[in-house]
Amino acid sequence: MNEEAIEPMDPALLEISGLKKYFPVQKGIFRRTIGSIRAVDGVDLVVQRKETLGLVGESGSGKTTVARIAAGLVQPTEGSVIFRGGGREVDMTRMTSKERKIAWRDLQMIFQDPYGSLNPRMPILETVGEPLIVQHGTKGNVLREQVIQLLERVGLQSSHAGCYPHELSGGQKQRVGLARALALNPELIICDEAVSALDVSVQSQILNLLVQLQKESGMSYLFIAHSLSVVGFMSDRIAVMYLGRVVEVARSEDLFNRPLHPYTEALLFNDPVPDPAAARKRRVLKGEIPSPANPPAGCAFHPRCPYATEPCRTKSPRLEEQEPGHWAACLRWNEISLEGRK
Amino acid sequence: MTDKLLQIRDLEIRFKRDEKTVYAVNGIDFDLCRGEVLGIVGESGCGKSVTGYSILGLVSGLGGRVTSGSIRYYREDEMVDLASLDAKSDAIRRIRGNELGMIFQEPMRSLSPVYTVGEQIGESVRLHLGLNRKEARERAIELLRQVQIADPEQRVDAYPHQLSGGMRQRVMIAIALSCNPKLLIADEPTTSLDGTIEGQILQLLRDLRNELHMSILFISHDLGVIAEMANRVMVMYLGRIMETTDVKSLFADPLHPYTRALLRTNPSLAPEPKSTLTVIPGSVPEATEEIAGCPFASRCDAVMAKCSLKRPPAFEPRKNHIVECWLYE
Repeated sequence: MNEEAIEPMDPALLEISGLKKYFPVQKGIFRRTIGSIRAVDGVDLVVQRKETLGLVGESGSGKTTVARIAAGLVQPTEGSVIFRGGGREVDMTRMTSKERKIAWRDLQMIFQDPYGSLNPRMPILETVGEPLIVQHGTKGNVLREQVIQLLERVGLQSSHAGCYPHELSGGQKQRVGLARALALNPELIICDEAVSALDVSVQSQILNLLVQLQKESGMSYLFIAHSLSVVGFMSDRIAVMYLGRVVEVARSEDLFNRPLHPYTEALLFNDPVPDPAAARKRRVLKGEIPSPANPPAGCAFHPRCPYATEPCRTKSPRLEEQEPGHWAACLRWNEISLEGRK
Repeated sequence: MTDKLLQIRDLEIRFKRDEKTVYAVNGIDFDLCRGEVLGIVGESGCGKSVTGYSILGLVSGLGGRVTSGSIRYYREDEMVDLASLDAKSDAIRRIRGNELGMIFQEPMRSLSPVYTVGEQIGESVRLHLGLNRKEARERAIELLRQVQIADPEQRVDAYPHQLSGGMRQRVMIAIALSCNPKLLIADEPTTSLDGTIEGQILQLLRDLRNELHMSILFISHDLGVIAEMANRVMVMYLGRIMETTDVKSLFADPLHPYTRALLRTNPSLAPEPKSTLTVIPGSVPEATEEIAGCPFASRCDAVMAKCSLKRPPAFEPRKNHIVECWLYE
């Protein structure tokens, strides 16, 4: 293992603590609450400055809900999200709409669907310039110039300023979303499946752009995707979520080479790799992903886990630091030997 | 060859969109043998799905037209040109859903929400195999068991919305298998599924192919899934087949600049995180113009003067490794 001394770090840029989000399940004409979906069920995560934290998980894992709460778009049931951007320290979960508007100068989000997240009736000039107009009252030629600079930074041309979204390709739309996110020089960009809808040849262009922008401007990313290859490429550290909880967090290379949670191992073996020899090694996991409305008792992964024993059925493991910087929530992590990519 | 199931020659498919002609498939040739899994891989708009639909006679339903070419389908004792059959003719209806099965990306769109799973599987076997209601239900339960759905006796009475995405895809596979097809056309069958569920469905398809000795035309944008499923692979771009070979050669020794670039752009093959990935410049152009030369010429890193003037024919620089590129003249 790499024995780097752990530097006393600045306080983290984003600090998510004890986060829970329960959505009520209602029934009947009186909308009686009969239960709850535990979309996020106790999540702690930090994003350091200039770092990319990857967040992976399958549908229902709660990764998107975590992102939306962190961006101040959704109120959690419990917990806090401390954001230390722009020289201030705010809790994204307890703020007025005025405070939120200020926080969004330093925290931006880009989404999967570039089609749905751009206003079809707004020319690109206005879409990209909107944050500048709203936050700084920029207008006229100054606005135009700043927008053109932003477009050029993401690899578009000044002529695109007058276009409408339907005139652009999927990759170009995602670049517009990125230009808009960059408008106010944010310290954190939350990317929710930002490249998932793109063709592979275009996906690599956007990934390169995200990496290059981070090198230039030193912003942090909370990078959410279901594809382990994409997250592995982008991230310094990776958190794996399953049914509303984080089951493993580690530096990317540790997670890939030496996973400590059986679910991470399963994800590694089920991420299609363009290599016929490796592909035949895929190990199939049994069972369905359970509903977050009715998660299994004990370790939520135990019904599908090939290593589960009796205690796993009843005892819920906590996320603990098993090795320096490597956290896992598994009762049997040191009894089983899991296989990584190498 | 006696083991040939399909022989496609000079297939051309056109669509009309907003007064413009879309050149979806532009004169492709390929064969598919019995028991083979043939993969078609390509980015959106390359014509891979339309090629699959054309075999089923479903292109006209999408607003397109097979403008030339033949799709010869070899039955036990006769040959049928599927391209010459009317989409609504009895002849194609006897074959489609019977000898040719199909599964799609979105099982929810292909299943009816108002009929139970058993009724939908049963419809197919009653139509094609002439079973009565009770026999059809039994056959449906048996098929659900074959696609490894737990408690088939209960699930046969479930409606699609009561099932998970993975289970719905299993039901679609059960419908496709209901009449023992010779060929299964699978169009992005796992693209909307989560990784661990995708693994299960791919495993199931492999098991079924070995059990039932059917051929599969496996269409996907995902090179990883293709690497896992296919025996032989065709790479398509803008309605042309750029390269065809066995799966090992394609990944170990790709010849076409497009295939090479596609493989290098894959982030899982990056030497280290945050390194610079190879990119293919630009994006896939719209197929609204007829292209005289190689369709990839505008984005190719090995482009030569003649590439944009004259379309390269199929060269065979190695045995059974076919590539449409002037580099191999």
